[in-house]
Amino acid sequence: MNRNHKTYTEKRRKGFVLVLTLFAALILAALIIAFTNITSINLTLVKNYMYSSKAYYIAEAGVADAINQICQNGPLSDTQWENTFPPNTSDTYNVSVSQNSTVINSTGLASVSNFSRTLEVKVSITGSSSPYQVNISQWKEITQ
Amino acid sequence: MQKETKKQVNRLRGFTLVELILVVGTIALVAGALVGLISNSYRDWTLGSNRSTLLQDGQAVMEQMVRILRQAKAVSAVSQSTDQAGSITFTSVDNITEQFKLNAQTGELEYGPTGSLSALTGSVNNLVFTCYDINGNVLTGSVSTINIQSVGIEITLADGTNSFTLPGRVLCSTDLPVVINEIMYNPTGTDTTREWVEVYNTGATAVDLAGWTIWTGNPSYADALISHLQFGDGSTTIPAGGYAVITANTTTVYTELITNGGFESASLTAWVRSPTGSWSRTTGDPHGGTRKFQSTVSGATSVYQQITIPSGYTSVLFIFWEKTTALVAQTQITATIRNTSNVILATGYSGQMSSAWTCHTMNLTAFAGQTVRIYFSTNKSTTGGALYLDDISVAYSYVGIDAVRLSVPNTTIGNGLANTTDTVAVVNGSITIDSVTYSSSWGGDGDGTSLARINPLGPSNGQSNWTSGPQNGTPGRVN
Repeated sequence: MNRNHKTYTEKRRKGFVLVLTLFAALILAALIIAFTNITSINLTLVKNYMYSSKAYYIAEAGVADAINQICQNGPLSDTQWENTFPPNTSDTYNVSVSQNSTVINSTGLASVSNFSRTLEVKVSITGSSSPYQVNISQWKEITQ
Repeated sequence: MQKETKKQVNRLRGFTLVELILVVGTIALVAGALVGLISNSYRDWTLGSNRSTLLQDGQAVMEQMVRILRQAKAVSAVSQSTDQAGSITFTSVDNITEQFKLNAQTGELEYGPTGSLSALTGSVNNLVFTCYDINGNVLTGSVSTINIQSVGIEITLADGTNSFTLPGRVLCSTDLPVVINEIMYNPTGTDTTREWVEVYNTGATAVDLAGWTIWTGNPSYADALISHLQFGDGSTTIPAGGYAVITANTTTVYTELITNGGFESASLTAWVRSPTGSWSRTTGDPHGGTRKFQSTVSGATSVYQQITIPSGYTSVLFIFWEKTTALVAQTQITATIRNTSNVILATGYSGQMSSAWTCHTMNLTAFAGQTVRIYFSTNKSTTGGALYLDDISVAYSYVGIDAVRLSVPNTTIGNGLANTTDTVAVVNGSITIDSVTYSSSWGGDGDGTSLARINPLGPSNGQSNWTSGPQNGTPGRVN
């Protein structure tokens, strides 16, 4: 009776260690896979943030172009144009001027990742000859 | 009992070699996979972390550049080179000449007053500036900073494994540091050929007014600014802190003291020559007009004219042109200022004569109120060529001695400035650099005084920054 009990306990202990080992291995593997995923996501995030920042700066360049045009020519009739920026790259900004040149929309496109960001800038124009004075009253980013 | 013992032995026996190899192999495979995963993750983590740091550095430096360049008063030089030598020099909001420059040796972006740059950030692989004109077109080749309307920036940061470029574009200030500083719109007596406008360069770098125009009353009738015919050295550049006086080209801005300095008249009585007749007026190869003064006498000769310089003027300038037809080292000329006893008071030039017409100048303002002799001593080698002198001038003026003199071909300035109210504007291309709409109630109205700006950096329009200047004004000098 005593021996039988002993044999049963030994068997149970042996099974317990196996399960514990498997469980620990599973946790460890899960942790490592999670860490791998986190680093991968982090890398993607940084990369996306980089292209997103680039798209924002390109959109800003479009606003600068529009303000320059208005400074020189005064209020423009509703118009839209696209330019590569910087020159000789495939990155572009697309600018539209509307509402008697008081609203400028500029979308910057970082071509490598197709990231785009759009700025909406509201301005007022004073002066009767070139250079017209352009005052910015609102500067915000919008989603398209 | 025996059966039990056998069972126990079976249970206690070790693993077979095959079992061990399988277990060790499995563990090795799993460990290898995990180490690979951890290694890749660590590499990605480091990559992301470094990239993030670079990006933050790039954003910080780009925003700083954009902010500072937006506030800058004027861009004075841009290196558009696509290699690592990109740089931009500008007048800061505090009137300091500053620079952004990539140090190709250290890979650092440097910023600060020129000659005293300090590092903003490292790991910069490339810095490219692109200049845009008034229509948004890219300017290429040798770019005149006057034409720069905006500047594109591309900064590339790299750390060996990461590399990325941030672009930006800044509208440059068209507010060049040149202001209309003084206006003589209603001098005593007739206005014809006696009106003038003074502009002042408030900046820390020189500004070239070549190609600029000025208009009064109506922008449709703008006149080009050209170097003044009198005292003109061809320069249209106002140095930092300097002045330009703009008149009609018919306006006499100085009074000549030398009689027959161009030798166009046959009367040479004002010139005292030794030996007598050594110098004579001849045709052929004059500097100006149709005649020059010439000596072919070997050895020492001299020629002088005695003049009295009036006091009370701020500018007395002595100019002469000299040349020899065959240059030898021994052919010398000395131009001195002497008193009536021939004692040398000052030397204007002493040296070898030139093989081409050459101008020498001297400021004689210190001799105001004195009677002096403008004295030329020459020593001609027997093997040397003939000696020429021409366009000798001592002129006094109320225009500052260092002021750039500019004129307009028409009478826009001269008698075109209205006496009650008018607008004066200085324009570069289609950019109005400064304009003033004055009123006679501001000052300078027909009593011999000018209309003087109180603070050059203050507003151009509005009576508060203008007042009457002194009699005759202060053209080419501080108000």
